[in-house]
Amino acid sequence: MPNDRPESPAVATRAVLFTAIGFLVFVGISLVVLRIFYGERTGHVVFVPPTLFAKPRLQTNDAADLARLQAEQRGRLGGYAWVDREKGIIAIPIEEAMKRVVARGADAYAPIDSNTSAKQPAGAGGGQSP
Amino acid sequence: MTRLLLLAIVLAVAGCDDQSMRQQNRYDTYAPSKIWPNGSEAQPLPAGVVAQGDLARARDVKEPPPVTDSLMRTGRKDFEIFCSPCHGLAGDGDGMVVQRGFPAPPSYHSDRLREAPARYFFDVITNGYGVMYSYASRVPPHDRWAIVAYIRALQESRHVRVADMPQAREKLP
Repeated sequence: MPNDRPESPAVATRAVLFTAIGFLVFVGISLVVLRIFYGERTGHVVFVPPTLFAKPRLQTNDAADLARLQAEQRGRLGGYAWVDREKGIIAIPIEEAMKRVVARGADAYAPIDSNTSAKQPAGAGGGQSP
Repeated sequence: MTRLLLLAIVLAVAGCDDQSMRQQNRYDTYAPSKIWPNGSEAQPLPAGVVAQGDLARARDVKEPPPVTDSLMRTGRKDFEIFCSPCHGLAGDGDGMVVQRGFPAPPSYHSDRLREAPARYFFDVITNGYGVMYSYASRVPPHDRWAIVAYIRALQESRHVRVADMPQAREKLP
């Protein structure tokens, strides 16, 4: 006797439908749970704004540093001042000192003390000495 | 037509060779050579040979030039270029290199250096001293003497008896 009943579908439609709905429900619940979890977890985190690191202790303006140092050193060469008041020794401007050394002629290279005391003969201890 | 063709061929062939003389026979440094008795390309200088200018340099080393305004200006310029980075513009041994941690050189205004002969300064510039290297290759002998003269002026600027310069009294603080 031939089987004249229609063939039942191979796919269990209800099972597939339930599975799909179940998956969507699971995803929805998961999203809600994760949202609540991270909301609790990260809601109070305060983000620190990015800041600059402390600068290394190097010269940041070497040209200005050099200019300042040289200005200070040139200042020492520029005027009259007492070096040793008791001994009567003074500092004079470098231009003046250059003229004084040039004016010594053959004694120009001689040590300063011998010139200052003016006790040694000309040429003593000068450039020609070994 | 044939001549033109030949000319074109000659010109084309001439252009094939490198005529720039870039590649020539030569010896590499210290290459072996059969020409010389010692078998080397490098030959010692014959006896008595000196470099151009050596005699003048030797004379300049031996004989300090007279100290003039011009020499003093040269000395000041060279001192500020070569010496002041360590010795400072005033000769106190506090140049910028020292500010950065390099060992400080002695002050020109110390008793020892004020009494030192000029040749001592010249020799130190020539040969170096302590951590200071030689400036012989940078400063010619004539200019080394100029620097020595300027060092004397630096020392003078800090060591004048007021009795020798009475007109300075009114300018003193």
